Amino acid sequence: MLGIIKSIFLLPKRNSYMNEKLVDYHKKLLGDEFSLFQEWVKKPLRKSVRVNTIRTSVAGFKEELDGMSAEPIPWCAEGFWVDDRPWGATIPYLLGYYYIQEAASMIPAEALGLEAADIALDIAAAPGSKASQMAPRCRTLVANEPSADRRKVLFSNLNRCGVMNGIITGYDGTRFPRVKFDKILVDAPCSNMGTARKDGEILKEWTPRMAAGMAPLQKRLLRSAFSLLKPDGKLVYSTCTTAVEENEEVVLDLLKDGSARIEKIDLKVKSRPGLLEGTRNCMRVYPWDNDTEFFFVAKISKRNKNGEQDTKRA
Amino acid sequence: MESRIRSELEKKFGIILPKGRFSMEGKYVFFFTGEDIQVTGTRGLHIGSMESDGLRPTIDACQLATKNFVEVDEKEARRWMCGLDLEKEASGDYVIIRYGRYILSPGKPRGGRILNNLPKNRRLPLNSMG
Repeated sequence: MLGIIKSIFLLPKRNSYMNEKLVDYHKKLLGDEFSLFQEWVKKPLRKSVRVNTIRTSVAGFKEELDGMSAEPIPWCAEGFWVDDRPWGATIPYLLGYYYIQEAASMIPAEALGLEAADIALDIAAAPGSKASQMAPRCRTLVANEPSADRRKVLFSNLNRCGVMNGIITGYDGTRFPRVKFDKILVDAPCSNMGTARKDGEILKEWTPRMAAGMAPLQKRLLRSAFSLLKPDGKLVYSTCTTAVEENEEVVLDLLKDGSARIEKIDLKVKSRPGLLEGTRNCMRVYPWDNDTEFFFVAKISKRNKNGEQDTKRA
Repeated sequence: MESRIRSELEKKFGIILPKGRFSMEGKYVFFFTGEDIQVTGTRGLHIGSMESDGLRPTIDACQLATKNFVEVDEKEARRWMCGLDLEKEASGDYVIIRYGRYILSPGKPRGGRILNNLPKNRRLPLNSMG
């Protein structure tokens, strides 16, 4: 009895800002780095913006800064870490000169390696940060979002950025029409564990069960998207969550198909490989690596009809 | 329709659009430069709406304008971007408010004022007028 009373009233709570299931899961996942995880999820997220080259140039944006500092983000030529000003309440922002976007979330669109002639698809596009990053670099971008409310935000953001080559669609991503694309981004709905620096509430709410609950949809979405890829096409699968069930396991599920292969991502990002066998080329980005949110990114290519990779476009 | 819209945008505002296709959803006009794909959706940029007094360009189409500007100072620009009308004389169906290098948005001259029609999601908060 005394033991129970002690456990309730006398002993300090182990992690009052994190639930126990989250702690147990991440101790196993991160091992020695769990203490870094505890430290970094409490740090406020560093602000960053991406210059919208449809409206202005990087040089033009620097002029806008009027002497204030902006530190380039190594993996995105248009990305900058900025100070704590209210960047969403400025005239250049409202006119679409830049997009407020977390630095790690710039990685997936960069990893796609878009080319000017590409027909591209962002299959879960709202609110539009990655879609607006992709649009200036390709011939046509289909930005898909099944939720009508979220589609309004997507529409607003793509218009603010002046995107003329985009098509906004509202399909269920797992049942997208049979159209073929050169490049596809699957930034999948996820349990959002990696956004803890932006919203600490997730640390109280997140459980491994939430992650496991997302995985079936993620697998269906990735398989559906992969079926839309042209031979030799490239697909990037990304999430902002830590769980293996939502990341490596989803990618491995697709690899069973035989025509998919994980490619190495060549970007200036400090990262570590995927955690399961066969996922070495996947990219895990932890907050303490680059002072960002958590991100998981996998670049997947499709073998051509002869069962070979096209090395020219890799 | 296409040549009429192109001509109106160019004549009134100096907006020269690249090669592309126009489409309409109700009174709203869209302009698309990509390759057409067999999907159902909204194609391209919302560039204007057909009003009884002519084509009203959107804030985003105005970013390509080269004429028909009404210049404002910083204080007026902030008021305008908060969604408030301007006490200023102007003529024509629509004019475009410009502050320095920033092309703000279209306005409608009426009785010594320029009426503001800035969408709510493109406005500065009222407390930022300074």
